[in-house]
Amino acid sequence: MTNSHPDGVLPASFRDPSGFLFRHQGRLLRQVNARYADDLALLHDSGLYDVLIAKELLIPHTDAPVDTAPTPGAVRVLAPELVPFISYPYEWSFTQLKDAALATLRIQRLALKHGMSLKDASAYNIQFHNGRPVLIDSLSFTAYRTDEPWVAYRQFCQHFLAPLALMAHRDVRLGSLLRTNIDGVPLDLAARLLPWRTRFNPGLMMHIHLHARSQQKHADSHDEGNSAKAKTTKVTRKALDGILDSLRGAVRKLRWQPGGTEWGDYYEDTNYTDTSLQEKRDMVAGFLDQTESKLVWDVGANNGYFSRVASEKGILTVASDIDPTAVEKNWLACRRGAEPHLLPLVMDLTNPSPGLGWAHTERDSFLSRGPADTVIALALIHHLAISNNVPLSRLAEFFAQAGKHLILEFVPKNDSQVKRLLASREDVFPDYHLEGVEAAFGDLFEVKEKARIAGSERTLFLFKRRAGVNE
Amino acid sequence: MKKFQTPKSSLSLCALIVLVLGMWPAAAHAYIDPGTGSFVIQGIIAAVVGAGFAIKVFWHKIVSTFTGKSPAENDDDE
Repeated sequence: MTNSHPDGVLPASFRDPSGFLFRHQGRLLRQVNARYADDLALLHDSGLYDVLIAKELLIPHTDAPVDTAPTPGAVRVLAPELVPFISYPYEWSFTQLKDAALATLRIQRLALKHGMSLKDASAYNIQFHNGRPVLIDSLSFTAYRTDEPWVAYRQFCQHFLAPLALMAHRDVRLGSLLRTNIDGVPLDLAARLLPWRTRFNPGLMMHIHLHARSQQKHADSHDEGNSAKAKTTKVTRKALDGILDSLRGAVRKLRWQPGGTEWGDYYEDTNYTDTSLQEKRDMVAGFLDQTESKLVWDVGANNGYFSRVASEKGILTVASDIDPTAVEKNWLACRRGAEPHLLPLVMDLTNPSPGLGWAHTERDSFLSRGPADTVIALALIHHLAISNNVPLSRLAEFFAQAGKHLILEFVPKNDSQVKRLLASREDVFPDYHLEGVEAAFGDLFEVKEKARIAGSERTLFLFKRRAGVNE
Repeated sequence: MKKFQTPKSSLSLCALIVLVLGMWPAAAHAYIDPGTGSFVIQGIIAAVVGAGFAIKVFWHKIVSTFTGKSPAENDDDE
């Protein structure tokens, strides 16, 4: 659960003086301050709100009683539709970030057509909701003022264009720079890391390389000449359309082709025959039916084959994997199939997303966004216990924090995948066996189901967290 | 749909040498720092891509008169 201050104000919601999010009697609400009253009225009166809702680009909101506002100065209180699981840009695959970027530009173009403009272009304001990127901050719009440059241009380039360019032109793993830089990838860093040939790409040349140079040149904010230049820069509406078109072209041209990796073709190279794969799927489905889940985390989900057991039942399923290729494939499949209940994310479970930002509270850690009703961990335990040396008892503690139920596949030492892990190292895991797992998990979980998966040496468990544990 | 492509490579080179700054008296209203350098570069880029974009829109209108299809300048907007 997201942390909040005693007055209910969400700790991440402090940057924009227009308003903030708070919790009130279990509901997530947004206080709108007086300074934003005119812009909010314009959002509705201009027709922009209705257009964005119709196009599923903005999270809908209704009005809540203004006396629920926790601080003075409120003119309205909004009740936005709840996004059940918040994810962050450093957890998105390449195309997820690209889709979020294009959605932001599309919103900005529509805003301009209605006499408004985005005053921020933070990737954190976009969430994947019902399988689509949507803007979750209704207070992001301001009245467009004639000939004003786009105030969020720098933020758009830092949050979207720079990381996408680095992922496409240098290495897809550089998306993780968004984790170390809370306000996006600094453009001078992006310019240094990008291959020299990107200077021949007009979009990247202008919006990253020249942009970075301009930032460097005008870095001295105490220089009166610099601040005068900022105040006198004029961008006509037509020229602004041109800039947005150029940004859109630059983003659309960025492509990353998932290459064959260790895990990319996992389901084409497993220890299962088609029959036993189907049987395992049926077993997972049967176990899941006993849990009455609304939120499932499938950790080590690969391309989401088993995640779909849950998501196709209408359960919101977060399908995380360490491999950007697998997650990319999963997201591309989600888009093709328009799957509203599946959210693929890049996540290294041995080093999951921490709490980040001011006082560690602006971006929630992975675990604090739980617990899930059910965690699915298939063909994963050997990677955590053997490759990463995590004792089984510590694994049990982690899973007891992560979910109320756990569907766990145990992969024994005589399985070829485990043999491969142990081939090049000493076996220092005397407790790694079926009885060892039951003993390690027994204090925190009760075994609801336990069954051998036909055609393999593996065992599938359904664990239920014991009453009183992490409640 | 095949789209008209502006010669952006040559235009981007022009960006290096073109500097167009008009007079505009008001300060930006923003809670984030838009950045002086980011504002200034927008003025420069605007001069470069603005003309190209105008040509592109004009071209789409010409194409649409022959094909009968609506201009695809923003293919996903109304």
